[in-house]
Amino acid sequence: MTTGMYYEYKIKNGDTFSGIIYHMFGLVLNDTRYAETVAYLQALNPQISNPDRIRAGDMLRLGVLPVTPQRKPPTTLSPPVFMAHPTHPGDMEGFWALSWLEHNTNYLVIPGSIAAGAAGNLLSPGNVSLINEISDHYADYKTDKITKGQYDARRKKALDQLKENIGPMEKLLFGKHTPHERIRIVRSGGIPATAHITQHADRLKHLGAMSKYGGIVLAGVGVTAACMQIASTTDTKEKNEIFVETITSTSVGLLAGSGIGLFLAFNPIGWGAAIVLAVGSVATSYGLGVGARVAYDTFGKGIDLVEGTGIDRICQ
Amino acid sequence: MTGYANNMKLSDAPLFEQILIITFVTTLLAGMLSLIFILIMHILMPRKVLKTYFKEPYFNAGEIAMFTGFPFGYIRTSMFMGILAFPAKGKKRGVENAYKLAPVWYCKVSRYFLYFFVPNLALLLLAGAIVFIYYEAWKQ
Repeated sequence: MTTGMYYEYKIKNGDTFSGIIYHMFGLVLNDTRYAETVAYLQALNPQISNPDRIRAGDMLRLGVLPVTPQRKPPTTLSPPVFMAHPTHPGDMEGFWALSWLEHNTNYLVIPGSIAAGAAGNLLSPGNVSLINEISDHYADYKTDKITKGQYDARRKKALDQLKENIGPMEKLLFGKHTPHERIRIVRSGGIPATAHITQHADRLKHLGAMSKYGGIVLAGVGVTAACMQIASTTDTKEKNEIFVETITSTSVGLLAGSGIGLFLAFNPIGWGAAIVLAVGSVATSYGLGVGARVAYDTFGKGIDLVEGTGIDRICQ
Repeated sequence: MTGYANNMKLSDAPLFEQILIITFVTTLLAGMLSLIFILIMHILMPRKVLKTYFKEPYFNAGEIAMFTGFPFGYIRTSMFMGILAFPAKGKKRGVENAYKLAPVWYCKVSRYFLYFFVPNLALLLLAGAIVFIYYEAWKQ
């Protein structure tokens, strides 16, 4: 953390300005650096006109104290006292995790969205039902509705279809074995004959559900991280750049989805081509977002979109 | 070609850059409006069409699972707008008769919308790609 960066602290019931300074910086009223710290924090928080009258729920910016000519500058930048001593380790980890997330969301969201989308697609209820079909066929066989040959043929057909649908995901889902080897009747006794089938169907069903909601969560994480970046920077230009990049990449991503939908309507394709299209649309939306940011930086600085749309207030 | 300039006015930029930026911004804004329009068409999508054709064997199980509900349901609407606007193109899926279940106005509106949407999307992607390469990769 360098001078100029700050941490936002939400004022709690019972907090006082001097108490916060004591807890965060380890300074008491008669400390020689106390007045200097108050002045610095007031400069960082111009909304606070009187330090003796702070309100619970308001945000207070706390930063590393600046080095003054009277004070010997440190040889290396050390973490502020509030990071080193009184803050709970769990809070500190949470803060750093959020900070990392804020600046590295793309590394998580882009591949995560592709993986979640692809997995959600491949582990769809349609594929899970292919596994459940085998249980039904087995029940028919045991009640003499179909012969052993018919059961084997239907089982093979369902598993062949599953194998074709999941493609190379087979290795991830079933390891070194094929679905035909994994999804089979238990003959050893002690557990129900269809136990393996039910177990695999449930596992894929849960993975599919997690993937689908994982994709939604990741999309939310992307927008939230952009909002956090807008809220945590004081530079209007940077706020606008983040906003332009986010709104462009999100819009282009949605538009590319529509375009892909049109293409898929007229050209039914396999899972492999679908993943290539998904990767392409994510890369395109990211690239165009970056392009829009640079274009704004070059020509659009005079336009304050963040203030005009009220995004800054919402994110704060 | 001028060097990378900060605080540059668009009117002072070379004609190529003016055209490029105006095209990019215009197509992007038009694209955003298109998304709103697709959402309206999503709400107005004839249920009969979905009930009859948004199932196997016309669509595979993965597509049905993926494009049902939030957040990708709007892609299904785009697919059906294409199918209803251009029935002949739906032969591969066997949905060329789906337009018979939809109101004529819906098919016509879809067709006029797609006449605008597809070229706009193509232009947006092209202009965006040039903006990215020109400003981010080349001029820097």
